[in-house]
Formats: sequence, C-alpha cells, structure tokens
Amino acid sequence: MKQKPLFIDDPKVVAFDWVLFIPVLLLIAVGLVSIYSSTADANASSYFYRQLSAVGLGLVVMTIIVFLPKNFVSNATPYIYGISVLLLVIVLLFGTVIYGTKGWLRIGSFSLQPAELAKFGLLLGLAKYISSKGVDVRNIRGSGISILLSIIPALLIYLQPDHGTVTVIIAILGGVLYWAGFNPFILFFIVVIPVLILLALKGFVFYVVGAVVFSGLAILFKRKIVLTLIAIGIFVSIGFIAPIVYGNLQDHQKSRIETFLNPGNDPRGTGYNVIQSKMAVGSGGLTGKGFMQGTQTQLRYIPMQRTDFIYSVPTEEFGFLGGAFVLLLFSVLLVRLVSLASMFDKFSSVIAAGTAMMFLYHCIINIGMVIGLIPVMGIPLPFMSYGGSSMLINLAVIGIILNSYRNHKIKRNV
Amino acid sequence: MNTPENEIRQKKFWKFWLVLITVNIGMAIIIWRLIDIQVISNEEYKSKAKRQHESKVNLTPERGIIYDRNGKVIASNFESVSIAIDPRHIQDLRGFAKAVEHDYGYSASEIISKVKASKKSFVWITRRADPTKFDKLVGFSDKGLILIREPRRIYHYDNIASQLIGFTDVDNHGLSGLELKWDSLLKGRDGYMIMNRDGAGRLRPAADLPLIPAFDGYSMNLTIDIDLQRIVEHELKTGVDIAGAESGTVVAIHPKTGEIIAIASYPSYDPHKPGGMSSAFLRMRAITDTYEPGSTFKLITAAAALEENIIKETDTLDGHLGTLTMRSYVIRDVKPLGRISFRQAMEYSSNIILSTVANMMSDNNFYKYLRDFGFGIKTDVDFPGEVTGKLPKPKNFTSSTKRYLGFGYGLSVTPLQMANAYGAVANGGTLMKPYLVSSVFDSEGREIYSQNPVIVRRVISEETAARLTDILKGVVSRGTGKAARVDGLEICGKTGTSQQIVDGRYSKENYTATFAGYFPANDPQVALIVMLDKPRTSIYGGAMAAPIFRGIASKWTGANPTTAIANKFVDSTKTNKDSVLVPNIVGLKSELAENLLKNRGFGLTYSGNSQGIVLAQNPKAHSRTINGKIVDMTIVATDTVQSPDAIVVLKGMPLRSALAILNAGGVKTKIVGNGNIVTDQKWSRNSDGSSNCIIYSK
Repeated sequence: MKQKPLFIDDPKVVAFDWVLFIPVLLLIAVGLVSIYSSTADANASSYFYRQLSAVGLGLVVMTIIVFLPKNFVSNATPYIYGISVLLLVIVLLFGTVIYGTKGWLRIGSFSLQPAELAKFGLLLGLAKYISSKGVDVRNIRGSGISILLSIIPALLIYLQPDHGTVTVIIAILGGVLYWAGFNPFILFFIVVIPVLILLALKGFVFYVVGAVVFSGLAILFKRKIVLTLIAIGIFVSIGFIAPIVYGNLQDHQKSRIETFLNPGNDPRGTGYNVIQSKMAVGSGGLTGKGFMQGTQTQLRYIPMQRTDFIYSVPTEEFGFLGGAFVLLLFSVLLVRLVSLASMFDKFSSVIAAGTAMMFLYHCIINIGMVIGLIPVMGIPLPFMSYGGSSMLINLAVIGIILNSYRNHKIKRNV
Repeated sequence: MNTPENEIRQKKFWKFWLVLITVNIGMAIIIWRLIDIQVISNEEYKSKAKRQHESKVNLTPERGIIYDRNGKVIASNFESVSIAIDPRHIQDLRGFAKAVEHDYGYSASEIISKVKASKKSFVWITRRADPTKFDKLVGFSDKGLILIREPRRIYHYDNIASQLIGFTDVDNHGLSGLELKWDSLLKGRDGYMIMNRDGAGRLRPAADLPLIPAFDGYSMNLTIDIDLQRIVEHELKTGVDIAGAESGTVVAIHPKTGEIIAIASYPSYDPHKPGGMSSAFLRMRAITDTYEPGSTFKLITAAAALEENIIKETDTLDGHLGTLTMRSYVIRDVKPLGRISFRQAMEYSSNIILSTVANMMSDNNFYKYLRDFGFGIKTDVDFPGEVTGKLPKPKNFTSSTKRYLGFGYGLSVTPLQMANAYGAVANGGTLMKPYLVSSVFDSEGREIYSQNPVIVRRVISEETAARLTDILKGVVSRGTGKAARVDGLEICGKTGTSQQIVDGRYSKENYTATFAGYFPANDPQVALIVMLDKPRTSIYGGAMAAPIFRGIASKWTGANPTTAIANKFVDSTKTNKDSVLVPNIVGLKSELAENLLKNRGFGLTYSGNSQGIVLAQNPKAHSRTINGKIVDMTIVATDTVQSPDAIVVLKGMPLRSALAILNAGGVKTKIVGNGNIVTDQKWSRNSDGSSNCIIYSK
C-alpha cells in the first residue's frame, strides 16, 4: 500500500456526502430565518448576526474536520473526552449562572457551554471504547465501562444543574449500546419503566394504554415466557406503586411533578411557554401567516423562543407546511445517519448511530415540548435553536461523520 | 444459508429497520399533533391568539363647543392628563412617587402605599389633571406608568351663565343645564382602535387593524349674548347684594323672535368645581322655580280688559282709599287712592282697581287670556327641568279668585313665563316660543339643526299692545317704576312686590320684588324681568328690582344712566359719568364690530383690511374713553387666518379672543392648558387645505 497524500484531487475520491449535508444546511437556513423573525427589532437583531457568525465558524470547523486524515479523530478521542470532562469541572467552579444553571464559561464576549462539548466527547469516547479490540458491550465489563464513561459527564452536568442534557447523555448511551448489540430487551425494559411511571402519574387512562402497548411489545421480543411475564408484572405493579409513592411526597415535590406533567395548569410558570407556543403553532394554520407576520412571534409572546421554542416560529409563520418541512429535513438527516452507521467501520458506525440517537432525541423532545406533547425540558433543537456552542458542536459532529464517509470512500477506491 | 456472516448482516438489517420504525413513529406522532392543532383546531387557536394580542383602545371624541350668538366660545375643551400606575409593572415606584409628590394631593409615601395596597392592575393617581404638571414625567419611562390624555371641559367665562350651560362629570357626560339637555348631541360618539398588545403588555399600533375614529360632538350656537349675560350677571349680583336678597333672577328675551339673550340666577357657581354646591345654586331658577307674580301680572289683566273693551285708559274707577272690604276678605293698596283713571291705576299699581277690572270679565274669558299669555303651560324652552306653574281653572274659581288673579295672586309663574308674556306685548301682541339653541353644527361646520323663531299665537291685537306700551311707559316715567328710568331710552315696565307664602300663610317678611318690562318703547329689542327673592333692604320691586333693570338697560344700550333720579345706589359707572367702556371687539367679524361701535357712538378707523376679523383694537377693550372717541381696528382677512404662515400672532392674546379669531377663520382649534392667555401657537395643515391650530395656554 503506497502512501496517500492528505488531499486527493481525484473527483471520484473527493467524497462528500451531500445527502447528509444538504438537510443540515437547510435546517440551519430555516433556523436563521426563524431567529431573525423572532428577534428582529431595533436593538435585538444582533442575535441573528451572532448566530450567523457561529454558523460560519461551525462550517469552518466542520470543513477542517472533514479533511483530517484517517484515524486522526480516533487518536484524538481520549484528549477530547478528557478536555470535555475537565471543562465540566471548571464550569462548576467558575461558570456563569444563566436561568439558574451554572453552565456557561465566559471568555471575553464569548460564552461556551461545556455540556455541549461533553456530548461530543462522550460520543467519541464511547465509540473509541466500544470499537477497541476485545470489548463487547454484551458482557458486564463492556457495558459497565460504557455506563461509567457516561456517568462521569452526566453527574457533572446534573450538578449544574441541567437535567435536560443529562437525559440526552442517557439517550446517547442507550442508542450506542443498542447499536453495539446490547440486549435490546433490557434496554427496552429500562426505557419503559420511567415512561410508565410518568404515565401512571399523569392519569389512569394514560397508564392503561401505555401498559398494554408496552406489554404487547414485550411479548413481541419473543424472550423466555418467564422473563416476559416478570416484565409485564413489573409494568402492572408500577400502576399501583407510583401513585402511592407520589401520595407520600412533600407538597412542593408534588407540585413540581404536577407542573412537569401538566404545564397547562400552571399558566404563570413553565406552563406559560407551552400555552403560548401552542397558540402560536395552532394559529399558524396550514400555510402560516407569512414571514415576519406571525403575531405571536412578532409580539414576543413566547419567552425563550429563539432558543428552546424556535420550532414555533416556522410553524406559525409558514404553517403546517413549514413545520412538516423541518420534520422532513430531520427525517432525511436521521435516516441518512443510520444508513451510514450500517456502512461504516465500528468506530464511525457507533458515532453515526449515537449522533442519530442524539438528534432524534433532541428533535422529538424539543418539538414535542413546543406542541405540548411532552413536558418541558430545556433542550434545544439541533441546527435551529439560537446558541453558538450547540451549533459549533453539532457541525463538528457532522464534520466527523463526513470525515468518516470520506475515509470510507477513499478506502474503497484504493 | 445461515453462515455467521449472514446472521450478522441480518441482525444489522433488523437493527437498521427498528431504528427507522422508531424515527417514523416519532415523526408520525408529531405530524398527527401538528395536524390536530394547526389544521383541525386552527380556528380555535386563531381566535385565542387574537383575543390575547388584540386590544381595543377607546378613542375619546371631542365634546361639542358651545358658542354664544356672536360666535364667542363659552364652553370648549382642553387636553388633560390622567395618570395611573400598573402595580405589577412599575419599576421605579419610589422615583415616580418622589417626582409627583404633593402634585396631586398625595405625599410620596401615600402614593407608594396606595399602589402597593392595590390588587388591581390600575391605580389612578389623578384624573384630568393640568398637563403642565405632567411635563416632568415626560422623560420618565416606566412601563408601569400609564398616561392617558383626555379632553376636559373648560368654561371660558367661569361663573357666567353657569346654571344655563351646566357642567359635565369626569367622563364628560353632561350633568346639568344645556350640557345635560343636549348631551346626546354634544358628547359625540366614541371611536376605537384595535392595537396589538405584545408579550410584555405594551400596545403597538398596526396599520392593518381597524380604526374607527371618534366622532366629535356637535357644537351649538346659543341665542345668548355672552357679553350681555356678563352685564346682566354683574348688575344682578350688585343688586342682590344691595337688597340683601337671598337670590335673584334675570331673563332677557328678544321679543320679536323669542331668543333668550340672557338668563341668569344669582348666586351662581364655578362649573369647573361644581362639587359641594347646594342644588339651589345649580338650578336655573328662571325656568325651574315659580313665584307668585304680584303686580307685574297687572299687565296681563290690563291686556285682557283693553282687548275686550271692558275699560279704556281714561275710564275712572274708585280706589276705595286703599281698602276694599269684601264679605270675607280685604284688598289693600300700599298707597290710598281715590277715584283715578285706569292709566293712573296702572302707574300707581292699584290692587283694588285691577281686582275690580278683573272681576268685570267672565271667568272663562279672563282665564283664556291668562292661558294665551302662556301661564299654566310650559313654554317648551329647550332646557331641562322646566316647571308649569299653577293657574286655577275656571271651574275651580271661587268668588275671590278673579279679584286676586287681577293683581297677580293665586297663581304661580316662572320668571321665563313672565318675561315671555311681556315679550308678547312688546312684540305687538304675538307670543313667541322662547329658545336657547339657535343652531347645531358638526365638527366640519355643517349645520344639522337650526331653530327659527316660532310664533305661538296672537294674544292681543297690535293696537291693544301699543296702548299697553303707552301705559307701561307711563309707569316708568311717572309711576312706581321711576327707578328704572334711563335718559335717552324709553323704557316700558311694571313693578311687582308680592308676599310669599310661608307655612300656608302670606308672610309679612318674605317678599318677592320684581320688575318686568321692555325697551326701547318704539321698537322693543329686549323684554326683561328682574326678580329678587326675599330682599331685606326694601321689599319693593320699584326700589330694589327696578334699579337693576335700569343698570342692565343702560349698559345694554351703552347710554349713560341718568343721575337725575334720586337713588341711594352707587353705580359702578357713576364716577366716570362722562366716559364709556370700550367694548371688546377683538375676534368679531368686522361688520359686526363696526355696528357695535357705531351704535355706541364711536368713530372708526381701519388698519389692514376692511373686511375680516378684528385682530386688535386701540384703545383696548374695557378701558374708558370719552364717547365718540375713535377706535382703531386692525383687521385681518378671514382667509389669512387659515394660513399657517399667516401674520396672525395669537401669542399674548386672551384665549377667548384667539379662539374667536380662529373660529371665524374656520380653523380647527385645540387648546392645551387652561390659562387665560395664549402662550404659544402651533399650526398644521390638513390635506383639504384647511388648517389646525393648537393653542397653548398656561
């Protein structure tokens, strides 16, 4: 095998995955338009320009990563993971508090959100570990170390506290483990239990429907009958235990759970956002009110609209068509990530699958929150929400996948 | 083929599809939800959003302006400021409280506790305040501070004609007088504007949202001459004070048209501060109160008797030397009289002879004349609260009713009815309907209503009226009405002194002193009644009411009051008997000013144009000058008033004059501030070429 130059001019080998990149670019464009619309004002349009520069910087970083040589990312992974954890420690010591979360490091006029970098570091770290020789997540050691790798950043983020991102870490771990061959029945079981507890607290009907669906799914796994029955037994017992435990909670704990589950009952707190974003989305109609014409957006009814509630902008101003277009872009992106994951070598495959899981989780939770399907959790919508750290990291992740794609193609062409 | 490699490939395949299915289920749930709220429930969310972000803002119309017969503004509006605090949004409450401390009657700590104690979103600090105080709040930007600019009523002549004009409440609703009677026309119609309210609660205008402009109230011209009204009120006040009377009333009617030129009750009140006034001050007594007319009513008896040929002026009748004893009652005269002519009986106001004459007529016939002169019926004047008075019907007449009615007892009348009856005689026997509002016009000046003189009926023949005029002339020149005499002016009049009924008996202390008449005798321009309630200095109409009549009449005509008649009253003009007051002609149309000055014997010169509006005068108004002195009028053409860059400098001019000029020039005017002198002016031009002018007055 002869030495390959770093940059290859052969057009067949300048492998760039447009199918992955175009939806990303379009999502960024929709995001910028939405940020412009939701902040355009005599003195607030600077949000748009700040985001625009974050996009520019992100694209530069992404391009650099795309053209990195094979194994560079893999080799750098321990350092990236280490730095990301270190920054999480530093932010706990010296961070700036915004909205009650000590999650920002201020350097000059820039502020960095280490939790975003931690997701990136974790993705790489897990991929690096799982793809190493002799590691198998199906055994205790393999899964144990994977979980440990995740718990370190999760715990540090929990201390900020940023519960939303903690759930993202868990989701990434789950996605990676699943993709790496971890027992899906156990994963299924772990995911279902918290969901069922929430449904049991939300209402009896919700619980019954959830329990029936999940029990049916448990049967579909075709495991040993005993295991299946134990799983179903636990599902049933949750329906009895959860309300009893809830009944013994302190009042203020109860009210927190209550607000989390039914934000509409608290129109002055978190519920206000949901009521307002639902109103914006609902009043958008089929084709929307037009760019810069969305009354709820233009009159600034939705607090934090440019960050966590950005999805209400395209849905109000471009209606159902605008909202569905965003979903289509995410779908293309996700499907492409999963199909790339099936194609790549193990390291890249785990990254792509973990990224898909991360974006899917962000997308479902964020949009579900905006349209009032899911309780409010402060996590942004990838590529669209205002926020430089998130944009930078997401584009870096895309860069790594494009790098993998490129190296994958080069390998095949050799 | 179940090789290990195949197994792995199959596993990968399933893993891939499981992920895809999960993605699709998630997306499907979101799409279903989007369809649910965006397409199916779209209308519901739309109306919810609309209700939230659209806010209706009321636009207050400008209340109609009340002008006198010469176009002088009596009541108009100026911009006031109401201040409120939204306790939920106020940021610098302490700073605000300090800034306005004591301006509105509260100390800083009182304001703070007032705002903090309120659970509402709106706490009034003051309503309709003077906008000059508000200047210091201009730079005070706090979203919890709410400033509302609203028009407030201003009465340019304060107490003058206050009962007539009435007043409005804080919401600009008419509460009394003409403001009440014509409220529906004056108040206009509220408009509204839909504005966007943003998430922070601020209102933002939006061009595509509906705006229904407020419809300004109609303005009106009164029949009142405000200058004469001022004279009347001044004389009335002086007379009431001298007589020590409880109150006094004057009505002046143009006999040929029924226009009420002046109508006043004293004491009056300040319409800007009507609160706390007793209703006695607020009532327009000339219309809402009745009295027993007494001797002034003898004119009516005489009219009936002359018209029916029951008696002639020269017929002699027995005065019974002051006491006529009937079976159950006695009629007395103040002064014992023997056998005298009917004319003399009128001049000396003999109760006995007039009662005898009244008794010579049949019940129905006599009653018909009283009814025809308008007694016992409403005049239907355009003013709220008019009363009918009491006139006994013939079927209820007793043997004494006619005898008493003959000299004005046994019935009650309003001063307006009495003035109007005298007006009928002055008008050659034709009774006119009295009225106060001559025309109503919209804010563009288009007339929407006008009142023409209305003839009620002919009561007596012209010849009889002329004979009565002759008799009344005698009353003033020779009889009881001498105190009303004015040199160079032939006045017809009749005195009246009537006992008031207290606890069902005629009182020996409480009297009503009246003087009713008209002038000039040959061509009457005014029918006037002066009535004093419970005079103490003297009870007689001839002594108490007639001098007031004389004072009004003499100033009215601009002639010198005679000093030849012995009277113990010091007239305000007496010390300057050779000088006359220069009238205020600023703001009048030039031809009107010309007539006014010529009628009063002034000479004229013109500066500027010869047609237009008087901008300035020399000598100044209300200064004294020798009769015949030349008055120079600076006249500005009407169309130049219209122009924003016109030479019309209003600064320093009395507000009233400035308003009159602008009004005559057809300029839409707004007043800011409530002073009396114009401090600044600001012009703007409308698209149709007309102009707006804002006058600042502090």
